[in-house]
Amino acid sequence: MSDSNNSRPAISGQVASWLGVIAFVAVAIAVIAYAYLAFRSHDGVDADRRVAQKALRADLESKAKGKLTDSGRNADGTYHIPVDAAVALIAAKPEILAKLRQPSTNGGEAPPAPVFTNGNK
Amino acid sequence: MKNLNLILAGVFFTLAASFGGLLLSGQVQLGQLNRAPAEEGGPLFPAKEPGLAIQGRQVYISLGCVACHTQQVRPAGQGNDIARGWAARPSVARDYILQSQVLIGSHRLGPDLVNYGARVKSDDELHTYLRTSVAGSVMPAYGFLYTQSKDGSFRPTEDAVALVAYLKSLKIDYSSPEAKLKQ
Amino acid sequence: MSQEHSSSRSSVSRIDASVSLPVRLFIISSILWLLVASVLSLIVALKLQVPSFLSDCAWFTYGRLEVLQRNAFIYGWASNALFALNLWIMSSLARFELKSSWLPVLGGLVWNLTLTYGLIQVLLGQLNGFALLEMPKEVAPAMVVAFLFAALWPAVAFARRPTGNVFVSQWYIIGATFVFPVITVVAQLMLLWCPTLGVMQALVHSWFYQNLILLWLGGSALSAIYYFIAKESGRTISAYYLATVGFWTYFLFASWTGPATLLGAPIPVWLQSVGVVAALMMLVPIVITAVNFFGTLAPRSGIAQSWNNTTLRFVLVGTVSFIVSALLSVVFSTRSLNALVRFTEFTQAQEHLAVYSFVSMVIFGAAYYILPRLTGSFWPSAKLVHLHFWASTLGSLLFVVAGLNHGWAAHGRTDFAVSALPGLVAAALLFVGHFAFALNAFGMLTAEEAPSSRRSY
Repeated sequence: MSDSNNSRPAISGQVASWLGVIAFVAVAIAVIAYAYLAFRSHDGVDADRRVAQKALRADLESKAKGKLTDSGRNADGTYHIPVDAAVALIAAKPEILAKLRQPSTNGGEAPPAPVFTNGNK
Repeated sequence: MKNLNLILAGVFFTLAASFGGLLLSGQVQLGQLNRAPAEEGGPLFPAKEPGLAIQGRQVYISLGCVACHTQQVRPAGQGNDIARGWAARPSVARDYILQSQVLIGSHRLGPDLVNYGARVKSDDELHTYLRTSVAGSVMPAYGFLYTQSKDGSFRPTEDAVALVAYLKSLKIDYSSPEAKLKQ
Repeated sequence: MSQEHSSSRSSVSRIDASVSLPVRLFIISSILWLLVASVLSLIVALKLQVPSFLSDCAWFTYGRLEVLQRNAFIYGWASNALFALNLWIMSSLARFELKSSWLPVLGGLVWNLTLTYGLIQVLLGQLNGFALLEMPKEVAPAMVVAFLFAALWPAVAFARRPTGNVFVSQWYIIGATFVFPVITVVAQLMLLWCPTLGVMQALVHSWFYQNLILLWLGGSALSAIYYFIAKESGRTISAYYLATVGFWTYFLFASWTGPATLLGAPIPVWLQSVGVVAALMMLVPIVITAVNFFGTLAPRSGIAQSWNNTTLRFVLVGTVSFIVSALLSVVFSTRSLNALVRFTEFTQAQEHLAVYSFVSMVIFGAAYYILPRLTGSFWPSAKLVHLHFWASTLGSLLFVVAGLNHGWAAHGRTDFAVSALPGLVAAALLFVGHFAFALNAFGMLTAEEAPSSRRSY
C-alpha cells in the first residue's frame, strides 16, 4: 500500500503537513479578522468626531448663555438678542427650537427662550 | 484542482467574498448608526436603557426566553405582525443600537416582545403572569422567580424585578427617521 | 440489508488500523452525545405538551434545554461523527497511514471535554442568545484548537497522497474542514469579543449559522454521499465532469444565503435581496448533485439494489432529504412565501430535514459501513439495524411533515396553538432508533474479535 512512506521520516513529514494546514487556516482567519477590525476602527474615528462636536457645542452654549443679559430682557420675560447669537444658541441646543414652536403655557416665564425682536416670527 | 493549497485558497476566496459582500458592507452601512430624534430638536431615540433593564436582559438571556419569543416586527407587506397589534410600526436597525446583545430571535411559540413594554399595563400584571402563567398557554409558570412569605403573599426575587424592568423597557412607540408612527 | 453478513473482511487493513484509535474515539463519543441529545429532545418535546413538566427550577427551562439539545446534537453528535467519517474516507481514498494518531485523539478528548464544560455552564445559566454560539465565550477558542488537532488530518492525507488522483469527495471534505474554524473564530470575534453594533449581530450570526449547517455539516455529508454511492454500487458517478462545478457553486452560493434567513428583519433590504438571490442560485449545485446521485443509481434498477444494502439505504434517505430540504429552502426564500412560514414550526421542520434526515442519516449509513471494517467483526443484530432504520426514517418523516403542515396552517392565525404531540411521538421514535443503533455499535466495539469471524474474501 503506502510502503513508500516508510523510507521517509514519516512522523515529522505528516506533522509538518499538518502544521502547514494550520498555518493556512491561521492566515485565513487573520486576514478576515484584520479586515473586520480595520473596518471597525472607523467607528473610532466617528467617536472622535462625536466627542469634538460635543465639546464645540458645550463651548457655543456657554458663549450663547453669556449673551442672555438683563439689559436684553423684555417685559414678558423673554430676551431679545442679535440674530447671529440666536443662531449660535440654537446650534448649541437644538431642542430650544421645539420649545419655540409650542405655545408658551405659563406666561413665558419659565423657559428663557430667545425671541427675535426684529419682526421675524 | 489537485493541489491542496489551491483548493484551500479557492474555498477561502468563496468565504472571504461572502464575508466582504455581506458583513463588511453591512458594517459600513449599519456600523455607524447613532441615536436620532423623531423630529428636529426632539429627544433622541432609542432612549437609554435603565440600569435595571440591562440586568434584566441578562436574566432574559439566561432563562433562554429567546427560544420562543422574537423581538422584531416585520413591515406590513411581510407577515401579519403589525396586524396582530404587536407594534404600530416595523422595527428598524436603529432601534437596536444600544443593546449589548441583539435578541431578534427566529422562532415564535409566543408573542413578539419588541414593543411589549408599551402593551403591558402594570408591573403587577406582569409579575402575576410570570408567576402563574395562564391556562392553555405553552409558557410554563416561572414560579422559581418568586418567594412566598409567611402571610402567603409572593415576593419577586431580584431576577424577577430586573426581568420585569427589562420587559417594560422594550418599546418602539416612538418615530424613527426610517419608520414614522402614523399619526 | 444482509450486506454486512454476506461480505466479511479478511482482517482490518493497515490503513484502517492506523486510524482506528481516533475514529473509534470519535464514533464512541458521537454516539454518547447522540443519546444525550435524544433524551433532551424527548424532554423538550414533553415540555411543549405539558408546560409544567420540570418547570420548578431555572436549570430546566425550555430555553436552556433546547440550547443543550441543539449543541449536543450539532457539536457532540454530528461534528464528532463527521471527524470520524472525514478521516476514514480520506484515509482510504488517499491511502494514508496515520502515524501520530495521538494528535487527533488529543483533539477529540479536548473537544468533548470542552463541550461538556460548556454545556454544564449553559445549564447553570451562563449562556448567550446566538444559536450554536450559546456556550460561554471562552469555550469556542478551545473548541477551535481542538478542531485543528482532531479534524485537519484529512487535509494532511490529501496533501501526502502517493498518486495524483482526486475524487470529488476529497474536495468536499477539505472545504468543509477549512470552513469550520474560520467561521467560528470570525463569528466569535464579531459577536462576543468585539461585538458589532445592533442588528449587525443578527447578520453575522446568520452568516455563521448558514455556513456551519450547509458547509461544515452539509459539505461533509455530501462527500460521504459521493463516496458511498460510488463505492457500494460499484458504478462510476454519472456526469462526473459536472461535480467540479457543483462543488464550487455549492461553496460559493451557500455562504451568501445567510440574509435569506432574515427576511423581514430590520436589516437593509438589499442585503436580504442578495441572500434571496444566493438561495435561488443554490439550484445550480442542487441540480448537479441530483444528476450525479440519481444519474448513477437510477439506471439498471440501482435504486432497488441500494434499498437492499444497509449503507446505501440510509444514504439514499439522506440524499433524498438533501434534495428536498435544499429545494424547500429555495422555494421558501421567496419573500411572499417566507412571510407566511417564518417563525413557525415550518422553519424548524426545514432545519430538522437538513441536520437530521440529511446529515445524520448519511452518518448512520456510513457508520454501518465503516465500523465492521474498523473492528473486523459484524453488526451484532440485523433486527436492531432494521429497527434503527425505520424508527429514524419514520420519526423524522413524522416530525418534518407535521412541522411543515402545522407551520403552513399557522399563517394568518393569531393564536399560538402548538402541535406538540407529533413532535413528542417523533422524538420517542428517534430515541428508540438511536438506542438500537447505540446498542448495536457498542456491542460491536466492545466485542472481542472472534477469530472465526475472520474469513478471507
